[in-house]
Amino acid sequence: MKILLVEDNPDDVQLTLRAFKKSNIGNEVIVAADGQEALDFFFGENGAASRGGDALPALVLLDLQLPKVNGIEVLKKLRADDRTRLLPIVILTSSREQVDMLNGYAYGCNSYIRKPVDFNQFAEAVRQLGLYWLVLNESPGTNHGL
Amino acid sequence: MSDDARDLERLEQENQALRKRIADLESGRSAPEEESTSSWKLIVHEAPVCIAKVALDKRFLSSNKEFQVFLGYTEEELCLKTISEITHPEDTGIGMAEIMAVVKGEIKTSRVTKRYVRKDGGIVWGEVSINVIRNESGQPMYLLAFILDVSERRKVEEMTRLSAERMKALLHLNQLTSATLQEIADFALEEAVRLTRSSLGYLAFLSEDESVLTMHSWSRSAMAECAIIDKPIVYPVASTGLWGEAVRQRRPVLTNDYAAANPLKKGCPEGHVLMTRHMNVPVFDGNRIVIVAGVGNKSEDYGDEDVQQLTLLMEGMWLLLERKRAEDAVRTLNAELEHRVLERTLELEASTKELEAFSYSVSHDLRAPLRTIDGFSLALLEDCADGIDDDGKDYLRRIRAATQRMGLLIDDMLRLSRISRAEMVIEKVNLSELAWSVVHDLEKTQPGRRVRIEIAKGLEDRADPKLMRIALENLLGNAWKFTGRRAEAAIEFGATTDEGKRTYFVRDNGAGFDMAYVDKLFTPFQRLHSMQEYPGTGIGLGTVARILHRHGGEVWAEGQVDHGATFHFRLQR
Repeated sequence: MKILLVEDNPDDVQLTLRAFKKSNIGNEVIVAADGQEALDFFFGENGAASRGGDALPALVLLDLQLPKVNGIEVLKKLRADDRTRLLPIVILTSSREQVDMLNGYAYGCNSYIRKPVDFNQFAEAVRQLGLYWLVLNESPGTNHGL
Repeated sequence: MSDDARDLERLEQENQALRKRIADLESGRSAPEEESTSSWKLIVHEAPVCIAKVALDKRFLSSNKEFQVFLGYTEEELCLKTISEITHPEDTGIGMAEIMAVVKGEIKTSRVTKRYVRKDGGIVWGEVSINVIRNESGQPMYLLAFILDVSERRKVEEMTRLSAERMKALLHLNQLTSATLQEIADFALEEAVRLTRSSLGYLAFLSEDESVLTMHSWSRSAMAECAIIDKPIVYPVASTGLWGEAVRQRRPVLTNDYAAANPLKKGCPEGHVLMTRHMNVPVFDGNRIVIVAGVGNKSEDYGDEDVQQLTLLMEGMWLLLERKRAEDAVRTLNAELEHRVLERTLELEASTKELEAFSYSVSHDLRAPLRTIDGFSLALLEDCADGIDDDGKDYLRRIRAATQRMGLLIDDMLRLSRISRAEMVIEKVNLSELAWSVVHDLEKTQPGRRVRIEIAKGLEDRADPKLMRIALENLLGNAWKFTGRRAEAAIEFGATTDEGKRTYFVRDNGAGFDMAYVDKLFTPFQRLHSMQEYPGTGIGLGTVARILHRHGGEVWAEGQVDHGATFHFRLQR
């Protein structure tokens, strides 16, 4: 079960990976550095969407402020496609602006998490996230081999 | 009974008495002829009514004293005149048909009112009744004319009529609310010409320092007659001829003999309307002359009543112009204000958008590096602990503490800006219940603390419930925090009413503060206590002040070091 991390800040990538490690989440993490890379991952030539099954990540962690194509656009495109419509997508962002939250939920994210400054709190958030979405949550994908 | 009717009745009675007397004379029923004739003559001569005997060809045969006084002729002079010759040229046709009818016996008496021209040229009004005297065989012998001098009455009637017309004109003026200045001035001028029975008129405005007259309008008749092509518009008062006298003498000036030599007259330019009579008046606003209005070429002399007509009409016009000017000024001001409000609103909207963009970037861009600093400081502490000594670890911990504090400051700053931007929903709020709910939350954070809480019952007011909750959270939260070191902590929330205004208060017996710094309390990020003693970002009271200001209210504080603090607030000023 793979995790797709869509994040342009390499520091944040490092810290997120470290938080997974600390929480003993050993899943493979694929990093997309901007919105276009994320879309390519799914819909590019021989992309994950066309291959389906294990090629699709079990969880997408999506930043909002992204170069080229922003997070909300990525979310819209993933939700518009039948093959990725049901993927668990968690918005992981610095922003707590109401407009971002409203847009996130309006376009169908599963959770909206604001990255805390305190790394310990951040690590805790990532741990709970992994535990919830990768272990506790029953998604149609895991049950029916979508 | 009206004067008119009374006069008529008197005339009729006198008429009847005389007719009876004539009948008596003719029937020879009276006393001796001689005596009766002389007494008849006396009566006729002294009667307070004009009596004349007129031949059927309208020549005067004889007249009494009153008649001679009425027209200014002697008996002899009158006997050389006919009725037509003493009648005003415009009125010669009046009553002629009636006299014919009387002579023919179709009617008994002819009664008309007409003008006569006196010997001195003056015009008088007479109410005439004419009977025919017949001989025994019924042949008309001569006419008997009775004339009552009604000049005074006519004058009063004319004045009443002109006053009524002036009132109508003024009323009409006042209804010209949507007319232009030119239309109003033109209307008033035409009315002034008509009401003074003049044939031309003009209207000029006087400059503020009363030195320059600016011709505003000429009556249509003057325009039609005037042959001067480029009429001057501006006239300095000092060098203006006769018509400037109204300003120089500050009173109406009447010139009924325009042709006569007058040292004030400068002479008229070629093509100027021929003037026979002239009158003009200054129109005052307080002590200042604002308008000079003039009329000319009335067929009779100008008199006081013309001055009155012209003055009252022009004063009425000036009042209307002033009112219009005031209204226009208000309208212009309103439009300007509206425009300015619109401009400000747009500016405000732009700055609000800017603020939103700023908040957004603060919340995202400033927090990201903080997270990196904190995250990697921790990574150093955890992953490279062996290579760092205790001092180094202390430094790293300080870096992390400062980073996290900065994160809190940014969050508080954003919260404050959100409170300023939040849409307000004013409704009835039970502040007592709200305060209890806040206190219960506080008790949950520190269940071990013993604090005596006193909250007045039933404090209801109109406010935004969400914002008021935040305000009470901050005020009660402060009280809770600053009584943290008291063994017998006490917090009170209540209200007092003074002159109908309700003032709420939150009182505690905590650490208090020095009144010298009271002004700094409500400034965001200003703190009066050290972080070690009482942690916090210093945003709480700034938030409270902003919430109350948004409600149109205010907040102030009282305190003493170590003796607690009281925060008062009002929802309306």
